[in-house]
Amino acid sequence: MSQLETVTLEHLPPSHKIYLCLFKDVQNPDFLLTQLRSRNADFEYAFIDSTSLISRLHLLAAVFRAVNGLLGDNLRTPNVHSEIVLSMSASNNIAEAYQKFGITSGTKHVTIVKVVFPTDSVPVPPNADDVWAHLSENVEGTPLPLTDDNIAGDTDWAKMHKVYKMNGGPAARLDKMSLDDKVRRKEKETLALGGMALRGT
Amino acid sequence: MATAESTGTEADEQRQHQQQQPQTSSYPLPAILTYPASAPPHLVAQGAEGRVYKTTYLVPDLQCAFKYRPPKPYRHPILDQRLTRQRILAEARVLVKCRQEGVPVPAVYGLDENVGWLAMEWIEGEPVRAKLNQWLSSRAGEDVESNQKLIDLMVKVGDVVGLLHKHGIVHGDLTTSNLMLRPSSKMGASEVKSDTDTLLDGDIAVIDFGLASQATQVEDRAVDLYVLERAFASTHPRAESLFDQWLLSGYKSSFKQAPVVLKRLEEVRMRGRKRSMLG
Repeated sequence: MSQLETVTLEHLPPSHKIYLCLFKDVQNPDFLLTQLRSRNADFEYAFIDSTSLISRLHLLAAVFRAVNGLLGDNLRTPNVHSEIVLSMSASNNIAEAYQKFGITSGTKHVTIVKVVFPTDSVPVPPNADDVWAHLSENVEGTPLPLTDDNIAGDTDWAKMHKVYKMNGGPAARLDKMSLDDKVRRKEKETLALGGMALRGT
Repeated sequence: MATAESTGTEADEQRQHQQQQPQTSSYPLPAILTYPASAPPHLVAQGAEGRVYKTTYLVPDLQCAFKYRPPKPYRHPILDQRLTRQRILAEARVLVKCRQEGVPVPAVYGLDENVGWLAMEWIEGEPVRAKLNQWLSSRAGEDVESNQKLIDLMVKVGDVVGLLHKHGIVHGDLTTSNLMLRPSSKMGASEVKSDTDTLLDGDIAVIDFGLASQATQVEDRAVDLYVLERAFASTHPRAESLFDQWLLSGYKSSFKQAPVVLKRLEEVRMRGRKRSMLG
């Protein structure tokens, strides 16, 4: 059964469809990486290493920014999928964004985003079934819906603190406070969103 | 909006008028606000430079304050874009910095500095201005100067302003309209006694950093306090006397360098906020 989710984000046109899925215990990250590096057009996805995800909203904020850039014809990278990876980052360095948020050969859990929209050359973009058929055939892993609970255990906090400059103050302050884990995660998510919004400025 | 005093017909007419002409139609929206959302943008504030809409962001259950600085036709387009960009980014930087330091301000959700919008956390509750006026009118004729609820509020406000200054932020437009009183996380329904008794309960959050700057000069901080003091004097004269004693004691409690600033405040009071006597 398809585990691919179709997401509608607030304030984005219905012509642009966003598909999401999480694959746990992926066995073939090297294969995916090769497709990505060879710029195989069939593998136009944003592959995000789930250790770099704080929450579902964290990812959605990056997707929104990338699609907003696409709509405004203001992309800093070749396409909307690479733009999603860059939009996760707090810095403008594209290679660094791929290292920190993209997949590596050591990646275990992968979050996948696909954005489709009609273009002049492809007026009818692939639908959810097409996308799912391709993913399930090529990603060897356990597909799961992208929920906060499904990624909660995977977050690499040391990495998140570093990339969003929470070290030396904010992270320590939040970790010291007697907060519910969910509240703490939410506040760190908020700081990450701020860092992403101010990327490279 | 129809007021309580208006007659039924007038109110009906106004309502019809609003339906025919949604309030947003008179102002062009940025393209991003013309796409579907579960809570379509609703204009909540309009300033000289920008407009604030209440809407949702990313997902239906996330409310946001969406600030848009439209292009100004009277400015040269290149200058206009540069100014808008700088101001959106300056405001966002201040908000992010405050949030990192634990100062209660709206979180930044996203922005587009080229188009001129900033999406922020929607702060629940009401401005201190409204709450305080409701509370004061419920106690008309009473001597409120030693009222503990009012004292607590003044201390809370001073404490938050001290936090801002401590982290190198000067707000630039501190008024009781830019201080929100939001329901405290600790407030339970069981604590509710009478309506007016709990009016001043809650946590302070500072909003509208459109004129804020990252400044550490004594003068800027003193002027920030002076502007707030004048705001209290003009909007809530009955609470003014508590400014010196209680608000400033809250300020001192959160900001170590307060004494220097308070000394300068004395000078600012003598001459007004413009030191240079220009502009």
